[in-house]
Amino acid sequence: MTFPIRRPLVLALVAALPALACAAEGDGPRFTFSGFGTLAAVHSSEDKADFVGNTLQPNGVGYTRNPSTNPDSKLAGQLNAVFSDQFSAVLQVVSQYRYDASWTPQVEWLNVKYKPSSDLSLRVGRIAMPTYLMSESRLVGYAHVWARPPQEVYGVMPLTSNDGVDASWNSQIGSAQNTVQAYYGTNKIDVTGGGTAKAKPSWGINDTLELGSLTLRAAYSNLKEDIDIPMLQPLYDGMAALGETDMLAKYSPRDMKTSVVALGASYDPGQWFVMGEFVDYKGAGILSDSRSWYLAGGYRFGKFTPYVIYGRTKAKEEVETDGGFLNDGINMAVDQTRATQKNTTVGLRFDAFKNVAIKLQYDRLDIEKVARIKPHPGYVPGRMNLVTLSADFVF
Amino acid sequence: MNKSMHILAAAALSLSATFAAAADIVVIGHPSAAALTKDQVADVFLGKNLSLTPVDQVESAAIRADFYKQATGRDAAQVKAAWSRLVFSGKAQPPRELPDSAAVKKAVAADPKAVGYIEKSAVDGSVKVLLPALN
Repeated sequence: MTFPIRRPLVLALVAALPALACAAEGDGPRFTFSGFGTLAAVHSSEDKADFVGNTLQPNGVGYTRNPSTNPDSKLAGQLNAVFSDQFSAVLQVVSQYRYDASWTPQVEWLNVKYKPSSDLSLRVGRIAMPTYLMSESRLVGYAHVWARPPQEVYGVMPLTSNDGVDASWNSQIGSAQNTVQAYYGTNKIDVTGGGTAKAKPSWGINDTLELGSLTLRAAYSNLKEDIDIPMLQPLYDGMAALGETDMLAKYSPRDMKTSVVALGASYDPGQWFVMGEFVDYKGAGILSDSRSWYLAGGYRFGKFTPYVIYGRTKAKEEVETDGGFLNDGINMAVDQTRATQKNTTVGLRFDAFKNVAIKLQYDRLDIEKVARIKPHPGYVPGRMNLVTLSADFVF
Repeated sequence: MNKSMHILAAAALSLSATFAAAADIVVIGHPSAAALTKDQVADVFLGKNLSLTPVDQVESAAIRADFYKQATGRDAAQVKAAWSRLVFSGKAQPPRELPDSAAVKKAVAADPKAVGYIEKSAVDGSVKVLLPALN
């Protein structure tokens, strides 16, 4: 997601594409090009902190710029290749504001799909990380009513893709469509201010049931993470120097076992919709446990869709008292991963043109524990009002 | 007076006949295909059931907007949003667009998995009606 093509697997896939093309019978592979994007400006009422589109961005709107087009704007192109009824491939490249304050396009997906039968599909390559109800389209503003996915929930796991494999199995249960998906892979993200976070591996299983207008989803993801953040090194050095081996083990940035249980539901008969998701995150080391949820609903008046969203995330509060001299340092480090906030959103989507939706959104954020925004000296957690005007398009 | 009333009535009748004809849409498939319910048709054309292959008419065709409104309760923008969710996750490609009902019949007659929609009056022996009425 945040690194260019460099994995051997991805390179092997690129090399394999012509071979697959040759294997295709008849008139050769069919290619289709499409894309999506968002041009959005956000204004914040807070000038001592930056609101960011995702926590991987180094800065955002408020302190650094105000208003800013950085948090939500993006542009993506996608190439689909169909080689046969069984084989197809997809490449998606996305440009958005990154950890290093650049817009360098990144390979979001690059995978080959094999469908041995109409109800089974296997993929290998870079694949969407299927944590949430809308994981696979979270960057596609046009596909959704909101200006951005509710960060209280979608900010828990900012990872969007994995390098690995997945399998999906569809079945019909009465008149319902059921899809079971399992995945296994690795990923690596660059963190702002230097450092990386790796999941090796990340695996999970999820089930989606679609019955007419109703969609229900349950997902489990498990990650074994390594975090390399230079800023934290003094803390670990301190633990080592003081012989705090228990603390070193407890807060080790290696092989941190974390997991996510996510439940989602949506009901969309056409004229109106309601949806919601709940996420239970189990952290490790310096990463705090948290519980998050949101509810959203809207009603469609022709081309206009007013909507409301209410979201909450709450981090579990635990104070370390066994670390001696290091208690303060540990508690401060852990506190930086604790996000507790709620957000009340009202907005209007206007399907202005074919392929273009204009959105005006107001967010009233109440921040209690700062982790999803970037604070600057003098910032006092509290209320923050955001106004977003965006144009989402597909082509 | 009387005569003009007649003309008005006739005009109204032919107008309503025109609207009725525009609204009479049937869902068709290969002669070997099984009948579908309206919910199943909606699933196929919104990409929820990928085991069948929807065949679309061009965006400028009047029948297209009528079909989606009646079969799925959604307008063009909503249908596009639903498909963009699938397209940009690499799960599916949007339905192939064909220029007219004759082309849809031809495509459906040639593919046992294809499902299309045409005016009821355009039905012939090359295809099977899978859903005779959307209302």
